[in-house]
Amino acid sequence: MADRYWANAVNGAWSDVNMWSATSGGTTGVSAPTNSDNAYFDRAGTYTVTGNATALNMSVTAGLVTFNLGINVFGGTAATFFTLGSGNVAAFTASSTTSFSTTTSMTLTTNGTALNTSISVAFGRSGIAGTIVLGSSLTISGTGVSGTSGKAKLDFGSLDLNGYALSVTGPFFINTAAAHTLAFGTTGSITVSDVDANGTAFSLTGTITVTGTPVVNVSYSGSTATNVNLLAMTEANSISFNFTTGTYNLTFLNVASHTARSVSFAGFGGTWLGRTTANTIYGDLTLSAVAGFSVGASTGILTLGSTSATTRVITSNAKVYDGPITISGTSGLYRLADAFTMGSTRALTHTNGSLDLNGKTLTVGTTYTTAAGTKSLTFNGGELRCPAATTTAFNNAAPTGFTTVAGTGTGKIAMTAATAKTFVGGGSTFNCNLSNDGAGALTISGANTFTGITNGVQPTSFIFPSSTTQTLTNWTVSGLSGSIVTITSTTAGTAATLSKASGTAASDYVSLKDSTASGGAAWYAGPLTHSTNVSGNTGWTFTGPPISVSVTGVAATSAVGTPLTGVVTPVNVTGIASTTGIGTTTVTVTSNATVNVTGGSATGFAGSSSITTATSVIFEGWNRPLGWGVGPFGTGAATIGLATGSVGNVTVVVNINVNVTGRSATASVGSPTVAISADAFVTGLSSTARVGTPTVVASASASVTGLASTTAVGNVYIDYTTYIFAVGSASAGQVGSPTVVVDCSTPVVGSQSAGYVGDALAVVNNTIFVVGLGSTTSVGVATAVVNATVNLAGFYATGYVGQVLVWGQIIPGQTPVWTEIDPNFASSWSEITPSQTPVWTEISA
Amino acid sequence: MGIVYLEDGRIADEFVIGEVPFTLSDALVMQPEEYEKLTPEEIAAMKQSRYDKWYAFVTTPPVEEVPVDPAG
Repeated sequence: MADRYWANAVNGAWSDVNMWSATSGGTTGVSAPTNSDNAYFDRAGTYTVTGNATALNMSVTAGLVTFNLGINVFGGTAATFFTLGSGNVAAFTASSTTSFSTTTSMTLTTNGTALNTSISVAFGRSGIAGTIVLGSSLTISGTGVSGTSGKAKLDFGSLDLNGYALSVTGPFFINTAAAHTLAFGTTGSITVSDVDANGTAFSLTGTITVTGTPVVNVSYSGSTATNVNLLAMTEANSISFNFTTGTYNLTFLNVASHTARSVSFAGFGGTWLGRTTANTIYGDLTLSAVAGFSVGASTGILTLGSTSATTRVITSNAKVYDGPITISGTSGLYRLADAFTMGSTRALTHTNGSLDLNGKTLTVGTTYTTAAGTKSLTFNGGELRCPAATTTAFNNAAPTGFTTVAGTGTGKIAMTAATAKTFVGGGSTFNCNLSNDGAGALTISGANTFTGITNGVQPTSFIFPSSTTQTLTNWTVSGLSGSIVTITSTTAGTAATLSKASGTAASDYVSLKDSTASGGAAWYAGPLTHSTNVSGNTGWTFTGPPISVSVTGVAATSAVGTPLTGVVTPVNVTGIASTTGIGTTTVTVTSNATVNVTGGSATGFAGSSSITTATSVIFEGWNRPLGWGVGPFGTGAATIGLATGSVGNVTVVVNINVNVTGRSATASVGSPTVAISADAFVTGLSSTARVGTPTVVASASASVTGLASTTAVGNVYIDYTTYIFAVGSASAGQVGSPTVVVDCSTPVVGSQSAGYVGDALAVVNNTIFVVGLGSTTSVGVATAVVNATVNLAGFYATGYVGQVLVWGQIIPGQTPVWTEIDPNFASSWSEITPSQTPVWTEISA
Repeated sequence: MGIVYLEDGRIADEFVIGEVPFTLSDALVMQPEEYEKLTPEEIAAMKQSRYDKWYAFVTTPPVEEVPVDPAG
């Protein structure tokens, strides 16, 4: 091995002996370097080298050299480096092939200089099959595309990208059947931007070991039909592909058993041609959002086979995947990023691993089928939509090892066929709702457990398995007038059992036959004017359920419901953590009914309903999404919202109890109006705004409570004999100003309040208590007109405690009067001292 | 519903659209810089478009494939 130096900064041919010296700057005339010699370019100056180049190692460390070469062979036995210094090479152009090879490890460093070749750059030669290691990112450019063997090709040995990018304006090939290692490092990648004469952009052959994080970008922007040829590789060896542009027809993963890791078509506007073979993707799958992208009709099964603990993400970008899919990676985790829709004739088989619907809609084709393995379906509020009108539309054929996970919210399996279909439950527990969302009869098999059973359309039918129990938490199956829901069993005369442990299960407008309702819950089928008791039913009551009314706004920041009840009935409207209005419920009930409108952590409006007759309606908005639809009974819309205003207004006409509760509400909590003979409770727990102004016209009890409220807690106006509490515990704002016209007891209590505690006005024959426990500001003004008992108490209060204005029969002629509190008495109130000017006292806590 | 950030740096504008039984739970998934270029009207239109296409798909009866006779 000899060293050869380009002796002078002059133009010349590689083969010209007059260009070379044996030492740097030495005498020329030595032989040109061969593949046993090192070639050095270390002279300052600008010059051009031409001809066919051959060297064992080569470096350019000075000057500005233009290489305008032909056929070039670099490397050989024990070659270690090929280095183009940064800023030292103006261009490197080869009219033919350029190869690099070593038997050990050769570092190829180009420092931003593209290797421009009209044909190809090859790594490794026959018998010289070491490792080419990139020392910098490498670009292989040039307009020509070599035949059908790659513009960049790994012929022998291994290529280590060493974390750098290899960019090729043509295809990349591994050509020989020998063993290769393609090492990417943590950030390495191969980008190909053109295809060969066969339309191939990337092709693998042989036995290949892939290491690192392998990413291949296919950025071919043309429209020529393109192939990417892979191999059957293990999960660890498989390569990720990004198809970033172009409008071509792509043949990819269409040889049996060929595999890829993650596959992304983001930016690709062509067609992934239909596949006929079984293939596996181990990583993410991203379909393209580009309008022209499509997936061809495929009969080959695409297996999502990740076994990694890393969650793999499936993104459809609203494109239909028209092919069968099997999820089968032991312990693998797949999650939908958006809605995913399969071709209507394609099956989804779930064998192993977890599929997280992630709150999205998964629309399968012919079936969702389980197969032998350990598999889990997680909903997180998502929907598995099974549209097929078949006996296997949902087919839990292998229930062993099958689990479902509710996650956040309540998911749904929707059986949507307009004709008969079957839910094969396999006796599993389904932590979701099963909904018959199509007019066709839904036959259920297996002794299953559900979060709930419901229906999204009317009319429709349920056929439950005879002599078998469906256990459920929620039952919301109902029809409409003229659109009944038919409930039967699989064998006429042999009942099917529905079991709910507690609470109420209410239906309406149903036709029941051979149904046993059990488990401890109260089962109501609706009145016989609506529903039909055909035969063979037990456990059902053919009335509507009882009704209750309450309005609750917990942490609500807006209106929570406006129920209006016309008769004796309870109604519940609850808004927890809501930020918009929770429901408007109008109930005109002729007999017992139950109406619940609940918005717990709701994100939208929680609905309104109009109920005109004895019935049952339950709107539950716990963590439910928007668009919560029409209630099962009655008309109107029930959706969920984040309330931002007041919590509830209740108008009760007669004989009813009203509860308005604002827990952590940030706005006012309710203003119930009780017309007669009712009890009204308005409660604001940790509310930050005014808590209620109940108006009780006659013969009622009214309670206004503000616990830890930061603003005023209620004003109570009671017109007639009644009993009023206005309580502000730990409130930061004013606690109540009750006005009692007649015959009332009126306690106003501000415990540890930071704000003003109450004014009480008792017109006649009343007892008034104004109590400030640990309050930090003033406690109350009490006004008693006549025949009243007035107590002002400031327990540990740090602000002044009260004024008492007595307008009659206490001490005549002395008005107003007020009192001074002795701070040494921890729990006392003072006698009224006549003829004092207004005084108050500072209380030490 | 709302915007969530995926582990790969993309954002997902999650939404639910439609009425029972045709409610679609979906998301617009894209890079943040792409999303920021969109107006609220464009975003709303994209969501509606996705729903319309999905609705059309799921309400269209499936077309059974005709098996190909290998013998031609």
